[in-house]
Amino acid sequence: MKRSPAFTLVELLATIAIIALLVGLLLPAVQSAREAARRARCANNIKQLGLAVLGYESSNGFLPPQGAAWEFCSLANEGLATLDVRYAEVSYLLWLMPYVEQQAIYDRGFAQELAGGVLWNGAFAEQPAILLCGSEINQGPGFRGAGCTNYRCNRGDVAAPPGRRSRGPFNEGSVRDGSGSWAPAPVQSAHIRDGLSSTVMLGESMICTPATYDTLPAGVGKLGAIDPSTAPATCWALVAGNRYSVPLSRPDFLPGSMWGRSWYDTYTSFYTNAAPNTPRCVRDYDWAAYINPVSSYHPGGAMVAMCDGSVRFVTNEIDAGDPTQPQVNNAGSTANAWSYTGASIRGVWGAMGSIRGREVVSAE
Amino acid sequence: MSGRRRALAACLLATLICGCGRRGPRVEMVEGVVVLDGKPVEAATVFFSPVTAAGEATGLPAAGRTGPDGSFRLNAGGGATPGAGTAVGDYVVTVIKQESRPVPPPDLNAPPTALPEPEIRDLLPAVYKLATTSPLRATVKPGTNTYRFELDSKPRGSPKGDR
Repeated sequence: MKRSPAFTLVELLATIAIIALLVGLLLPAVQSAREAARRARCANNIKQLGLAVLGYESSNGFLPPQGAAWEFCSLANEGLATLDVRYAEVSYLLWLMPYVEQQAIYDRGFAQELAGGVLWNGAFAEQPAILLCGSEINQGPGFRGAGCTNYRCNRGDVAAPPGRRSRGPFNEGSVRDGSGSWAPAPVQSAHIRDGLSSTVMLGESMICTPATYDTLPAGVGKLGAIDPSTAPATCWALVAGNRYSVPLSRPDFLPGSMWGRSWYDTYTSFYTNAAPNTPRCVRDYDWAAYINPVSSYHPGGAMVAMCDGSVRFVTNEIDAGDPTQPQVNNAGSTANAWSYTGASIRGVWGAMGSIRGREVVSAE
Repeated sequence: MSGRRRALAACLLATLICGCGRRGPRVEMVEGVVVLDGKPVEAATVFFSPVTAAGEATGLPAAGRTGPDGSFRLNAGGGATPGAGTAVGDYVVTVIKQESRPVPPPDLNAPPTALPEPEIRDLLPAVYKLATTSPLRATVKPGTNTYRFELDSKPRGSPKGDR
């Protein structure tokens, strides 16, 4: 038999198989290189926002208020007052806009608020690129067309209702009185007694998938009774074991559709009472989320900016205490759990989240 | 010829198997029923908190929610498969069921104030709420673990009147 001057089928297949094997080996490396690039950009965003907070602090003497409300007297007189206008709960991010070269959004945003316009259009439909992480899959638009954000501020290791002093560097829902001062007063860097380099200032958080909240039947995935003492693991019990069960590493599929879906609004904070990338749950009638950890699409953890402006990657395995334990106050009762003072019961992660827990956190 | 083909197949198989590694801690199925005075308790949250023995923590914290018949299955965190139970170890068990009454919407003609928090009410005796007071214990062993937690609305040694 005469051999033809060509490759046999087997030789060809073997070559293709080897090439496929090499591509198979290469592809994950390429993907992780792409993720590493997105992560580097993300780290840069959160660093810039952290420096912007420090810039604001230098100019004003305190950190920006979060979810702050103030009264628009003139609007009330004109009969224009609506819930949105009277309780204009703007995020810390709006105050930072001049510090990230977005003066125009700041000016237009406040003008729009003072004019009593709706809050999810105009300046608030803008999407500053610095507020989004490239690894995020829900890139917007957010709630009623608003811009979204992945970067949130730290309200400490114990959940606190709006208008109460939190244990973190940001208080929620400060109200400005007639004399122009805020209550509760925003935090100053001198108040951060645990040290600027060992206290978390900002963190990453996934943007909620639109409509997950509205499509869930009553009682599933939503917490009717949730208060600052609620144990973080309550949420685990709720989201798995039913047909909406989701991998615990994907809190984006959990309800809470306002969270992250409007950068100008009050839904831009997190707590360090639960480990990164564990589920978040909201109360079913007002979206209050007292189980609200940091989360990201980066494998293994999430990035945080510390109060000194440095950026750290916090892994999912960080010691976050026992999540099955409710928060108690100093008397050992779950009533008014937000009033707790003392060392964090949420491990190293809780210690990093509190500004004056007096815990020792070793900076590695 | 067939040897070469077999080697090729082996290579491909090895590549596939390499991609199928499963991570996460080993867990055992844990299920059970919660009853109060003999009646099943619906929509209660059951927590398994690991007992720290001689400085060494065993087990994984886990939680489950009861259905209409009072039955629950545990979910552990730390990357374990949801609904699959928790790790072998000794646990203190706590059970919580709460309801809340929403607050009325704010008065728009009053100056802005912080919104009041809704009132949260415990529907089970308070002794079962905290690991420090709960009398319930469980030991998770390899295999399927089934428990029945009998709560008493008048627990012995209960600190002053519970609701």
